[in-house]
Amino acid sequence: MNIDQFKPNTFKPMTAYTIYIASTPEKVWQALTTAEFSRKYFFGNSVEVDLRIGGAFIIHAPDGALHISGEVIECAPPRRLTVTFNVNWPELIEKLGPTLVTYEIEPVGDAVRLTMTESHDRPLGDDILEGGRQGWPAILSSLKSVLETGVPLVIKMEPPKRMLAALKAMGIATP
Amino acid sequence: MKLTLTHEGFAEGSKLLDGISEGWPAILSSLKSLLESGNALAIPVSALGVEGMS
Repeated sequence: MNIDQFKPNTFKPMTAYTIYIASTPEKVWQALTTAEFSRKYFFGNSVEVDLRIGGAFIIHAPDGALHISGEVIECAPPRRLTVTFNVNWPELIEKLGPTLVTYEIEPVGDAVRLTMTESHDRPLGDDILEGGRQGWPAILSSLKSVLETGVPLVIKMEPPKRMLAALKAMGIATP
Repeated sequence: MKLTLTHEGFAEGSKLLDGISEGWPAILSSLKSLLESGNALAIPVSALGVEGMS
């Protein structure tokens, strides 16, 4: 799999979130791509990524369960990482198609601009997209706190009810 | 604390919308830094790429 299969005409950005962090591109890259760091800000989840095109991108939940699986599509440390980001719920990928996540990291003044873009290859309703739209700001806000203060945010968050209802209506089993 | 900002009522193809879409993330990120660490972010306005603001 490579980026040519993920041209803009097939994948469209449906959620984007930008945050500025007092840090360096290298530190933001490390935070996004290492398990030890991600456990602090990503609800205890471990990000494991083999940083080469076609390499595995895996996120394990705190209990060790496979939560997200995908592979590296673009890898240009410390500026740009694109991965397939598929939630491991039965039938989800069959019905919703693959999810593409891109992180762009740019130095801006003494800070870093981190932009996360979530793209899909088919139209999805706001109910389905609500999971990412609630989750990404919490995850990336906590990442910023860890990098700037050393202390993550403690955020209690459940999957949005409207998203779970929409998935159920499509016949997708949810935890 | 969760802060949600909504800014709406723009015309189709609004340049103001393009500008504020770049501006708000920088302002709210800096507010978060100021509240948590006591230091605001130094983000040059020119870096936001907003037409007429560089």
